[in-house]
Amino acid sequence: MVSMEETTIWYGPQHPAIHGFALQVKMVGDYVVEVNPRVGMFHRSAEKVLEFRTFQQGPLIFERLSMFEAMAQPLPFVMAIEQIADVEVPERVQYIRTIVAELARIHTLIFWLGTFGAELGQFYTLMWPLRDREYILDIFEELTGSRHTPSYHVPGGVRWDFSDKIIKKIRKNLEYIQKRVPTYWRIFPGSPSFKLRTQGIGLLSREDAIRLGISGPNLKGADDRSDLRKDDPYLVYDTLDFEVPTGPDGDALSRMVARIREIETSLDLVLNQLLPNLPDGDFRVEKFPARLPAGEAYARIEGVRGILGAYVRVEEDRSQMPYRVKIRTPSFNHMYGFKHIIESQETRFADIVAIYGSLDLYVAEVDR
Amino acid sequence: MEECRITLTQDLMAKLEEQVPQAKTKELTKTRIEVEVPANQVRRLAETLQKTLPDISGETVSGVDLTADKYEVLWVLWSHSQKLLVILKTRVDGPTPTVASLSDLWPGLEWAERETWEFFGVEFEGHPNLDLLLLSEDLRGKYPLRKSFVINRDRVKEAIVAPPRPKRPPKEASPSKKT
Repeated sequence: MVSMEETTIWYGPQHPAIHGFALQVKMVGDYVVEVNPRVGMFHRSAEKVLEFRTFQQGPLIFERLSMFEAMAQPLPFVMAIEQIADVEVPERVQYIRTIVAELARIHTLIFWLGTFGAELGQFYTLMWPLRDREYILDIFEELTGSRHTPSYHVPGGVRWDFSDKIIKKIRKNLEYIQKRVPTYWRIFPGSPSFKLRTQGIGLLSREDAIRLGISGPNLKGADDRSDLRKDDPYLVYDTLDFEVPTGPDGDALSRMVARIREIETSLDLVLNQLLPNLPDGDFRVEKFPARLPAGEAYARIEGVRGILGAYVRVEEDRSQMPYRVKIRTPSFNHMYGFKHIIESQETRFADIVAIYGSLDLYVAEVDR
Repeated sequence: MEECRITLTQDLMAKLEEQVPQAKTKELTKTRIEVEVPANQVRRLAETLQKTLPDISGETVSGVDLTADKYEVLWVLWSHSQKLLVILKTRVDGPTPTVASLSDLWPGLEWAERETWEFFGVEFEGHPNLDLLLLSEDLRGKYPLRKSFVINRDRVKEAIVAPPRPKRPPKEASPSKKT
């Protein structure tokens, strides 16, 4: 007879699939009854640091929260500062910001596909997406000189303008990735071994997701059409025409489907709607005030993983530093939801990594 | 469509003010409202809000240290179907500021409130588990995001930042030197 005693084991922090947090897992047999995520190992106190850096230095702290999203992560902060300073940025800046944010989305999701495959033990899927991602990083390198921390967004505009050469390069590289997308469909959701590990695993209903504050592709994977690009449009998204990419069932496979559709949507947006309409003009406002008036603002965008927000408050007139900055990252809520998903249904030990991977948790973003 | 949105926001604001008379509502933009309530009315307001907009979800919780033992706590809530962002604000004071927890209405806020507790020392009454989340044990009770928590000031010098300074008064006509 098999003993039905409860066992407690630690999963992480040195486990290769768990990037920097630990899970205390309580199991009976190999059925998981309780998990307790322990986070905080990457805590760098970004919110305190931002209180003694000037607002021009702030975006650099932001892009270090999530290395992949460095082209999108500083946007909420920059937009909040612009709201406080009451500065309207030129139309060309808004287009450029939208394009680079979509490029960040494409390369983050492609990289996620590769790591998700590797986490499920299928290492052949790791290298193909990794190679394709390089095409986007090449664009970033040519545009800013850096592949990962580009320091591109500044209050009042962007640091470098798009040249004709860059636009040509974006078009060429994205057309290449567009040709690769059918391969992703074939090797990820189309593969029987992938389906075995992900179908019906980690079910999350739409109601639960909303209750738990889950956003982004994890919510869209539960067949919900909420997307800040449509619901609360920022930059130039109100002029764009697109369908919100969703997945059907709310399991790990649906979340993957939602993400691959997201790649397709972003490719279409950049190639067919943003690049052809890129207006001429300045890539930065002429003079951004060096000191901020007192005020507060909460700005948010639809990041790669969900709602990215920044609450900025300036207490005294003519100060260079924000008084308080709160960073809202989607992974923080998803980590809490991760515990709920595992405990709310029959989960076996091998499914933990499938659920973890399908939620696209980024631990540096949880800890800030 | 636009018309009915405006009535919805107005209706909601009127309803909140009717249920909780001390609440002050303010429309920030077409998709945002701000509600300010005294700390003892937060719970009542939140319950009214959840009854009116059942699909509203908790986005984040934040604290602000206003110095001299005064704190501001704000909850950010977002409704997908109505496309409405509600910022709920309250002020608390004292050495152990206390406010009701809203994490049973919106479970997604449980960690955010826990984080606000460990960084600001704001107690959330009725919270299931107020324990350290991101900080290590040696920072328990130090509340690092309070302004009284002193950081290494060398880093401020390194950032080459001058403290906020008042606007220069207009130049007075200096006593002219007669030569």
